Amino acid sequence: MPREKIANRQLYFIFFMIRCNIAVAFLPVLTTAYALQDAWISSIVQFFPAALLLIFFGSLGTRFPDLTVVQYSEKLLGRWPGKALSLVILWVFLHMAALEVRTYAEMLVTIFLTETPLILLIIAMVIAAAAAAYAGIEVIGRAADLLFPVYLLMIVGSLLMPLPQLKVALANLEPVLARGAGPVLRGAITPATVTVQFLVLTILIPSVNEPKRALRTALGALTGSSAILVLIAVVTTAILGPQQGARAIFPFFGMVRVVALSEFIERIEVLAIFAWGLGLFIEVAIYLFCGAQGLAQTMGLKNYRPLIMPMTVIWTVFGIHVSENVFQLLEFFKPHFFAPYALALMVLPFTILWAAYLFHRLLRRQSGAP
Amino acid sequence: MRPRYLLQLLLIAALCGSLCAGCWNRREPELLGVVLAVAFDYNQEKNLYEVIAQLANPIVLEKEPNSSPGGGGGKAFWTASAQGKTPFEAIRNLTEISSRELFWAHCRVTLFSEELARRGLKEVLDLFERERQFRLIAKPVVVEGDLRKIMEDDFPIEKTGARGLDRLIVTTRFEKSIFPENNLNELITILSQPGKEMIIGRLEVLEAPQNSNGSEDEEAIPAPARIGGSALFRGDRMVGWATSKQTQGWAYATGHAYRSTLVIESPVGKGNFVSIETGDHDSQMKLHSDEENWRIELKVNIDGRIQEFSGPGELDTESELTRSLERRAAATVRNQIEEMLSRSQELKADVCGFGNLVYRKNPQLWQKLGPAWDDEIFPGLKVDLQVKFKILRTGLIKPPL
Repeated sequence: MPREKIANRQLYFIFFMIRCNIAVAFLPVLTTAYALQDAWISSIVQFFPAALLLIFFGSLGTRFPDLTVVQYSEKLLGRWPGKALSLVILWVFLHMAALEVRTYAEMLVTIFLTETPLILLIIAMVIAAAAAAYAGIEVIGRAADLLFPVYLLMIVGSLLMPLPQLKVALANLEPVLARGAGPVLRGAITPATVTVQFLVLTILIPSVNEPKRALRTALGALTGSSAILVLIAVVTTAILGPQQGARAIFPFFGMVRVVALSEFIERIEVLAIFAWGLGLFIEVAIYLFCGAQGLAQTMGLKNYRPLIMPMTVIWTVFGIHVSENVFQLLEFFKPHFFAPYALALMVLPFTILWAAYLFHRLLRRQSGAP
Repeated sequence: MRPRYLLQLLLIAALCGSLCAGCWNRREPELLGVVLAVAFDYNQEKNLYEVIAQLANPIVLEKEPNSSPGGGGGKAFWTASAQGKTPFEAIRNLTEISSRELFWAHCRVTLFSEELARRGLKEVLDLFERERQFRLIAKPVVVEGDLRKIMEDDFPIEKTGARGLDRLIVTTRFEKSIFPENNLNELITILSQPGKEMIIGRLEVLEAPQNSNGSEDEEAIPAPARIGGSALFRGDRMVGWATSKQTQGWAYATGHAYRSTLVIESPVGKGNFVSIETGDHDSQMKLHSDEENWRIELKVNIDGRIQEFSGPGELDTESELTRSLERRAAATVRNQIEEMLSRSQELKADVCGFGNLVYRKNPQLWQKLGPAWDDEIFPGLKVDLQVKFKILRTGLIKPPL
């Protein structure tokens, strides 16, 4: 059976949406630390560590263009240690998906559907994503093709609408760097370590048309989404003011809510909500696909599809239990909590893998040389 | 193949869920009472918030405009009020007398009584920011006079009082700039920034003129309110009023002016007045600071057109006369700005945001000045004010009749 493939372009769209969605959701540069009016500098700063992390764990995959991380970790470390290590990476997909679905559902419950049970909202999103994951990576790729222009249009649209208000509001971005580099760097920590999302790359590389260029595609997506992040940070901080933005739970949404373009264009929050939902759909589908694919390979199954159904149930339940209330959910993304957690998940497994890889090469060279 | 069927079944089940959307927690429009305007007051004796809401009356609003106007006491809106310990409780207490569930997302105007404004608006503003139905694009007003009367009054040539208030605010600010244009979002932003104080427009409730025959004349409804001037705040508490002229000065100084009328005495003929309408406003605040000294410079550039000029004098060419008119217009603007400045200094309410300018441009300096800004530095602040006025057009004719 030929392997299902997606184009690098589709990979770009998927990564772009995954990355942007975090900013649309709760704009961590502004809300997780006290960067305040310097949040936009944080969004520039976060790009560099994020890119480094991405290169760190992505470049190993390009050396095994036909294998997922599950397969090459078994090859490098041996059967059982390799399986154990890939479970760690698969955990990331489960946890990130649960967190992000939960955030979306939390937003809907806070603003629109106050009495709807959380589980219903989570089920709706996870089932839609499960259907896409079941249909396969090609279908997700095409869905990304279809949704990405809409997504981008909505985000850019909601950034352009407040443009007339910006003239006065840009003063809210001053003073620049008044409190030194500390708050800016602290504001960049969570967004930089959110790169843990991009671990899906390690599973997706063999499914891409040009696996050798997959890392470059991912870096391109990181650059594009960081540019959007800077714009979102600028507009949100300017319109809401730094303190008010940092106080908000969903700052981007809060900004869109107060946009009033000359009396008749108001209440355009539908743009933000839809974009968020569309992005989340692709995101959860990809997490689910990668989780199922990885688990199937770990357990030695030929096809990942039988796993989707039970995983859907587990993911829904985990979406409910990932945090008890909104305080825990927000607290988790604070730098002092999220950064060590995410860094450990990215750096530890791949340090082991890199060490093993270099060790293998050394052995081969020594045995190869007379 | 079995998982595929299962998945399809699951999908069908999920889609069935969407059919329930109509009945689960439904909010039928005919069960909602749409709030058009809301007013907050504070009852000192009972220590209770009072909320007065103006609700649209769909039964009357749906009617043909020609059919029996207001017959049978059918007003286009209904005014309800309730009290509570907190603003939110007061709002929820409204349900005790309202047959419909209140819906707040379309509330466009928010009125505060002077008493509440002097006590502090924090609790109400927090409610607006936190509660999901309220919009921060609602326009705030501080009311001088009877709050209940203005909420109950009809506006001539408008269907509802709330619509009347809304239009009144918009047209006044476009035509005269005597009313600070802002929404609740801007207020909250100002409140959370250092060195800047809130300014909210003032609405004066007019007493209805007593008719000599005493009968209610349906045809002639007197204007229920006049708009102009502003309330100045320190923190979330109101400290005093500013007049229309002063508020216009604020608008010139901060770049919030849109159009305004200046009447100046003609330089050639005593007792002859010239009306000039201002058009393009530009204001720049600059902070000049070095190690020791600092000063604030405020440059205001205004363009205008002559709307009335009955002589004596010619307006054919740019002459000493037009330059003199420009100088006089600039002096008028300058006076208004200075008047506002001294009024705000008197109240120690930095509504123009000079302190914020220092904070923005030189945070180190602000650390030194900040603690004493409101009480010591701002009241004695000298602003280097430069006003330039340019007359660009003379209307449709050149010389007067």
